[in-house]
Amino acid sequence: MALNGKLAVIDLSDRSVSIKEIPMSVRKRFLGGRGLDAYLLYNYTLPGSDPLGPSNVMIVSCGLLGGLLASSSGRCHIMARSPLTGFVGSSNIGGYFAPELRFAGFDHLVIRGRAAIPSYLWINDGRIEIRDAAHLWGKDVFETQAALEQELTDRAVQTLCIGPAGEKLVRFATVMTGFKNAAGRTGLGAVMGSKNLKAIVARGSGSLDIAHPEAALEYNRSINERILATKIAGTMQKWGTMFIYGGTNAIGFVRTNNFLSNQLEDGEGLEAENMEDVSVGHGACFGCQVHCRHRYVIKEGAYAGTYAEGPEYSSQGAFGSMVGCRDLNTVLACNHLVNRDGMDTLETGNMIAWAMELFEKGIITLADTDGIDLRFGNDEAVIEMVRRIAGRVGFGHILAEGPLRAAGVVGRGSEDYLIQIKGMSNLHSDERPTPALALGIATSSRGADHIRSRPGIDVYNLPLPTLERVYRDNPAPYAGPLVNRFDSYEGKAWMVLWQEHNYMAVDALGVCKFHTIFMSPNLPSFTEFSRMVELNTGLCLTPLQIWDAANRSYTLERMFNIREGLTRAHDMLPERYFTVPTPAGLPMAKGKSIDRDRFEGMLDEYYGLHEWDASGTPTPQLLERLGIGWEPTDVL
Amino acid sequence: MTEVLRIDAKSCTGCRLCEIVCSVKKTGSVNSARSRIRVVRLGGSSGYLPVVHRRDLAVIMAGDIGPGRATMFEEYRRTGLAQCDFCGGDPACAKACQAHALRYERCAQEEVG
Repeated sequence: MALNGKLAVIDLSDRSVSIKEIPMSVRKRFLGGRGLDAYLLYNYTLPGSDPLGPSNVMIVSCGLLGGLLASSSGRCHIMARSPLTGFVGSSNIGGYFAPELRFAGFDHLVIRGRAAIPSYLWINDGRIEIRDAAHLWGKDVFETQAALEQELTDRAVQTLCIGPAGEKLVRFATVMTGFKNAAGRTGLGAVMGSKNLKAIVARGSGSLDIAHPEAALEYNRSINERILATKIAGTMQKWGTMFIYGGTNAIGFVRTNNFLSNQLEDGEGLEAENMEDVSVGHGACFGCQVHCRHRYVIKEGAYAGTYAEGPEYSSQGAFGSMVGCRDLNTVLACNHLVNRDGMDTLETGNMIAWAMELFEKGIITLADTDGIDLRFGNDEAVIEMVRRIAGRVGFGHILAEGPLRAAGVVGRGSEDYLIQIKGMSNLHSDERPTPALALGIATSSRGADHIRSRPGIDVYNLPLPTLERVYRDNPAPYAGPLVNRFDSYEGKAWMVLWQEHNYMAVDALGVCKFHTIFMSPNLPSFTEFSRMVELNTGLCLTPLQIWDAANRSYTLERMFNIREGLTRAHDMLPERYFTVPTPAGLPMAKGKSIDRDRFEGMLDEYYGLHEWDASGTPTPQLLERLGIGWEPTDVL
Repeated sequence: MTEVLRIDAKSCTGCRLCEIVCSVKKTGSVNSARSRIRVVRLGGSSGYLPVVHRRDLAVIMAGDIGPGRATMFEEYRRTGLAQCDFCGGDPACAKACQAHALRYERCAQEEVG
């Protein structure tokens, strides 16, 4: 069957490899991917482990549906204790690596210790070798992958690797595969770098047997047709996530000049339609028909002629509105640089935007920035700062430490200007007009984040029957209110919680969030997941069982964070969300701030729905019901 | 007239769904190595190329880009046509490809050559 993949525990210190079965009982309770990773992280990591020390573990996985007939089953999940936040480090990456790992016989890798010399893992049809990577150290992401294909004389190998930023332990370094697929958030590339692990290469010829092949083929075809029939998928096929920018900026949902505005005036140059001039086509992840990835060649500037992939909506903000730049070429160049060197586009843009606001306010000066004129809108300065962060050069060395540590070094009240939660910076979205989205970023288990719990469809003010269909008793019972106004605080706690479970299920199954209820209410969720699992694997899990598994894993992430010092105070928005109204945008977005008391009330409601106490700690009754309290930790 | 798979490499997004459905249809399992069709990543802005004939795969998947591979790419680009057993007249790969990189068509025998 498809679920024969093994767990490999790899100790880079003593160069040992231990291969274990994954019991079906564990799969049913945690599914796979991020779900089972949470279980492994909790049990394999000692409390207080140094995120950049050998005792931290890095877990790499495919989902329960990885590589199977599930519309887009190429997602890979990576987890560790984050060197950026100290809490759950967790990031999901597209491409083709996860299926190849599964073809090679493995579903989860637990990597611990630290290699004595730069190394890479070669995973090939059930065998795992720790190989010398001294010749790869110093190479960028693209060079590394090309060199490994050459060395292994196989163009079909799939590689996860770090670039120079990961080697230099930039605290928001990424793990990369291909030209732009990034495990971008929480600094997992630095964890890999700290282990002297340059790359993981997979190649497999194993078969993943489908439980019901004909029915699975037909169901996958019908699911794909349904996905592609949505407006969102059709738009993504042409413009990728860049399409979002035009609408959100027009309304006033786009954080601009760090946090000085919520709308970039004259920002048309950043809109997706401008990609027509540079695009050479689209790319897709494994099995995906949405193909949201632009492939482009930079036409102007220092990187003219360079081939790259992306950018995403996040880069439009990171190197556009947040830093006050209006030139798409700057976005394209910076997108290329962060992918080449292996850094999180969002954290990089946020660090530069923060420094720019400090500079404009006179809190830092040219003496701090090595003479770089960090005024908003200085395109060349932004590109230069990206290079300096990746190389940890001068002021870039400070920014490479991430928001809280950098503010600690700069001092002078600079922390007040960070737009971060739990030590991780936010997307360039401005959630002051949207309480549901604000609650989502405040409570996300990995820090400020838009793809952990965001009810993206809330901003559409959909007809109430549509919200009822999505959120009411699907599959878990809910008797509270649902309100189809994005400025309301009512019923939003449940929407955030529902999306949390949905995205956890998606990450545990190893499929893509663009194929579920995120930006469209008409995409698959628990009912369809249940059918996909049954047809592909033969495993019968009801929608409610999948919901419970997601809940179990999310609760474990919460428990991991609490073990590392998380309190209710960490589930909090930056102060300016409460005190500074939005200055721009349409009436629905202008003059908005989050009401502190109502936010606290929403947080209480959210904790209550989770069966967490007022401090945000899971209750003993919840742990008992989910079976976490008695879960044997030595089962794997 | 004869049936062919018409391959439009420019429309291929590299998703490999054709590989997946081909192997599932023929073997009941996902295994690219057992798929009649394979998607080759050409690198950089060149994109992707779905390739059908098994005789070409060894050349394609080798690390070095030799003259044989270049000739074969040229052949595919020129004709854009390939033939296999077509799943009994209902080719799973073409049916799955929503990017329209693969289409099942009838064409004149002379065009196939």
